Amino acid sequence: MQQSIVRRAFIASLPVLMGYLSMGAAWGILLTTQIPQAEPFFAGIVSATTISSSMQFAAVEMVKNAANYSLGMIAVFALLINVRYCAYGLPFIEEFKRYPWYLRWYLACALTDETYALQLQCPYPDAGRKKYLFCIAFFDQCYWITGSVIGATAGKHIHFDTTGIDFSMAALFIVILVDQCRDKANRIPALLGLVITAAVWGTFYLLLPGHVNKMLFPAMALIIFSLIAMRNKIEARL
Amino acid sequence: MSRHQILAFVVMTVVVLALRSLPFVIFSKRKPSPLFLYLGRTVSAAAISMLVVYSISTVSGVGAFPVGVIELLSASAVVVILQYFWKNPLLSIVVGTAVYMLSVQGVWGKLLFF
Repeated sequence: MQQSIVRRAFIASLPVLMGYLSMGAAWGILLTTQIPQAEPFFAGIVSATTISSSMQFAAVEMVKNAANYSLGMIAVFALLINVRYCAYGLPFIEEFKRYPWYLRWYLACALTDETYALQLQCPYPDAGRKKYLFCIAFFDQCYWITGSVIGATAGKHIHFDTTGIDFSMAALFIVILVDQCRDKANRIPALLGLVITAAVWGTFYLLLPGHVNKMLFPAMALIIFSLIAMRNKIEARL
Repeated sequence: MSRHQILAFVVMTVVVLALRSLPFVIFSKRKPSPLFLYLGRTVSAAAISMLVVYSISTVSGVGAFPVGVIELLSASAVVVILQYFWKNPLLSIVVGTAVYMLSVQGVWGKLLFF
């Protein structure tokens, strides 16, 4: 019985295995080609603790040009990119209260987009749930670590011209955006984000060239302000 | 890696883990407000669009602004089309990045005009 829970969790997580191994490897390659001092071991530690593809891709750009970013700015970016995680825990609050503290914290901290989606579809109503949720989170974390260590090691041995490889970060965000826009509710917020950021970028480009890396604060402030201002309209479509 | 770079990763990790455990800390007793739930649902898509524009504007291999815009837009279009129809993130990212790298390194031109 015990074994079949583990096996079912493993089978359910196979799509994530493919996704995380390859995406983790893409991140690892980006990390060691953009920041040559970074070691595969370090990539593994970052992946094991953070488990967040969008954040880790963005972090490469910020850490590469670390001189342009204070730690405070990095904290705010991390907050904005990952604010969605705040909402992920909500369906699990009552359930996790019954679990021992270490399991509760582990499950909370290992909650990624993919893990969350799989855990919502847990086939066990009562007994076995705890074990199934843990297995999903743990397997996914292992795939992510393995992928990024493999990628980081490969990146160390790549010697061809890698100019433009940082486009992969933009590509990742485009992919996430395309998938989010399949849900109608996300289209107006996404459009708002594109228009406002492009406008703020244009303003910085014309008036304050050389400070373009500071544009995210005003852009995000304007986005949140306009989301609140247009709340009635957007909520009507949720 | 410099100390600042490692600290940057540490800060980022702490923020991510704090965000993930936040609901279990603050909402275990009281319910989240409707405005919070609304922003939780909508900020994500808007923030990702913001990052799309921002990350495109910081990609290397392009000169000052108007130079390289065509390369950027065509590679982005490749990613959008692949992801929209095939729904395979890795395929979209790898092909899009390859298209971009080949264009900024001038490989297309060499292939065509040798």
